[in-house]
Amino acid sequence: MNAAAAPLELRDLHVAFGGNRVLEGVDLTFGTGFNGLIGPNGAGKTTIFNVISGYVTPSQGDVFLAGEDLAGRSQSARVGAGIGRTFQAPRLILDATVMENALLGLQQSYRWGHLAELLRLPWSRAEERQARGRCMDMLERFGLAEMAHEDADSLPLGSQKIVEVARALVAEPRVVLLDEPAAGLGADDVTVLLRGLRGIAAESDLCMIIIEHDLQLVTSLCPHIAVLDFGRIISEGGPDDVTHDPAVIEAYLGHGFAARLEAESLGVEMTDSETPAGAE
Amino acid sequence: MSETGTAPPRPLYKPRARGVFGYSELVAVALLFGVAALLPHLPYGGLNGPYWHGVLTGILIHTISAMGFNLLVGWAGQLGLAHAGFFALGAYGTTLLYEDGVPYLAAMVILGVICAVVGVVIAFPAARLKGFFLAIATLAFGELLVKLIELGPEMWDWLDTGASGGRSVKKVFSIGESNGPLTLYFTALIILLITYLVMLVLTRGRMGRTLKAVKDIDIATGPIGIASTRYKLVAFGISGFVAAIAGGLYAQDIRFLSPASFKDNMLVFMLVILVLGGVGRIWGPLLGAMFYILIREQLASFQILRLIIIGIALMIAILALPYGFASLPSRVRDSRFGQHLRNMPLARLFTL
Repeated sequence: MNAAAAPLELRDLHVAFGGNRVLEGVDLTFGTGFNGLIGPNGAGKTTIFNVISGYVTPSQGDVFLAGEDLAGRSQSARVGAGIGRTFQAPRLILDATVMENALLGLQQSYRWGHLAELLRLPWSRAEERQARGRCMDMLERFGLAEMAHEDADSLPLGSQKIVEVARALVAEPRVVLLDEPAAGLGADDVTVLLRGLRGIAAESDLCMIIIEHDLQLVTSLCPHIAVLDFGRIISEGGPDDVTHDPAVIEAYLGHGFAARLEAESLGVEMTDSETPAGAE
Repeated sequence: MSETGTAPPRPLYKPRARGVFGYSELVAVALLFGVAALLPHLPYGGLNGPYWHGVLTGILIHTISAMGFNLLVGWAGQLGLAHAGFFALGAYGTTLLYEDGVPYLAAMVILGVICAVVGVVIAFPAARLKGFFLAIATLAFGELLVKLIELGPEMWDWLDTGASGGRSVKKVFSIGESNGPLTLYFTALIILLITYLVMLVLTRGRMGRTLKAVKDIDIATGPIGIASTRYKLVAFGISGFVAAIAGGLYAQDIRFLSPASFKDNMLVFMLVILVLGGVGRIWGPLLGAMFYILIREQLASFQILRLIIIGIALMIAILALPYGFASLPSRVRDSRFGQHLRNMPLARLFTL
């Protein structure tokens, strides 16, 4: 692993579904900690995730994980290489327990095969026990340990989404892709989610990329934010830079967003000179 | 890695209900197989006669077959309908190999391996198909296998399947006429026990949850690190293996093989057992096979009318228990009646 290389780098990504060009030359570098990816619906945010996780093959461009080109790697091999992800709508086995769902995230970490499992060899069972321990620790971080042995469908939707986050993180990936993790969550759930994520960010050099429409959340969480519109990066930088960028306000935020942010006293400073010229 | 705090460690496994029957699955299984071992010796209602021996053996064989089918359809969620074809291949292949001097049980295993390999090979294209398309493609493949058995002798002399006229099967196992030993019944019982234990271990552990993921979250399996195609191949392979083993026993049970008996009605029969018993439930195959074969036998004297009665009985069963007989305990437990039961002092003994 190249120590100097960024955890995740996208170079000149192009994706087209038929005649519909979804990504048109996306260059992005993600560092450790929280990275925000925002933009209007249909901008191509989830497509970027799909490219990184290998579900969509770009027509052009490359994805580098810690300097290593991922081209040609299967989706599950990418998970083995250190990429985890969640989905906008939680995809859990509803009639399996929370623990079993979390264990799916460790699929690539098992060294012993199913034959050893079938024969109930001691080292295979020890491995399973260890995996359960790791999952329990992760569920604990997200306040789900109490419900570890409940069926997933008995959990409210918000908790199901958090289970997905735990599943994506349990294998200790290098990069994790969180697709709207806070959407549909109640305030309490968001608090739990953020506490868990911040705890992990503080303890590891994990690179987290978050797609999120809740801008207060993104701006307060992510020191680095990229804005996508019509398959192109229209702005990139810290929360202040991005929320005051005229192009972003035009395409996504709408006028008055920065003012709202200030009114809610989130520490974002705004001066008159920064309001776009075309503002009403 | 994790700090051990002051809090008591949390249970890593789901705590099991305990009680007289709750101690362990193995107790229940031992009891059940003990009963199954005694059943053909009981002098009540002709249970120790050849008629019931045949019926009981049939139940065991179809339970084994359905367990393999269940892994593919119920756990992996792949509607692969070549099961009757593999069953036929097992029945004919084992018979032919045995006539060439291979010991019968060895021939069964060889055919099991062949069907597992064929299952994996057809799973390569099949893994790209979903739902109805998979069903139709595999259905056609199963029929192709039976057609091959039927028409093969016209092309290859050595393929002594008796073509469409059928052929008799040399007796290897005693099936208990005139109070002889019940070798076939007990062979089937032992194979069923092994199959059950394998399925229990596989479906309760990592394999089971991974297959469930392949069934339930399908396209999301890749991004969370599951090589779903590999698991589909494994499921096809195991179910092919089990089908062939059950087919080998079946040939000894009915002692006359005819392609007509393996055509689509056999598949429908297998599906009915699966659905009736409970798709994706470990006890489903046994309950489905018991119900279906018993009702079929009990109604034998009604002749044509029996098909109508069976049809109505199936509809009632499916309406009453859409998840099969194996869902009955959880249905009772979750019902108001079940709540009531649990409050009774005796219930502690039985842990519903």
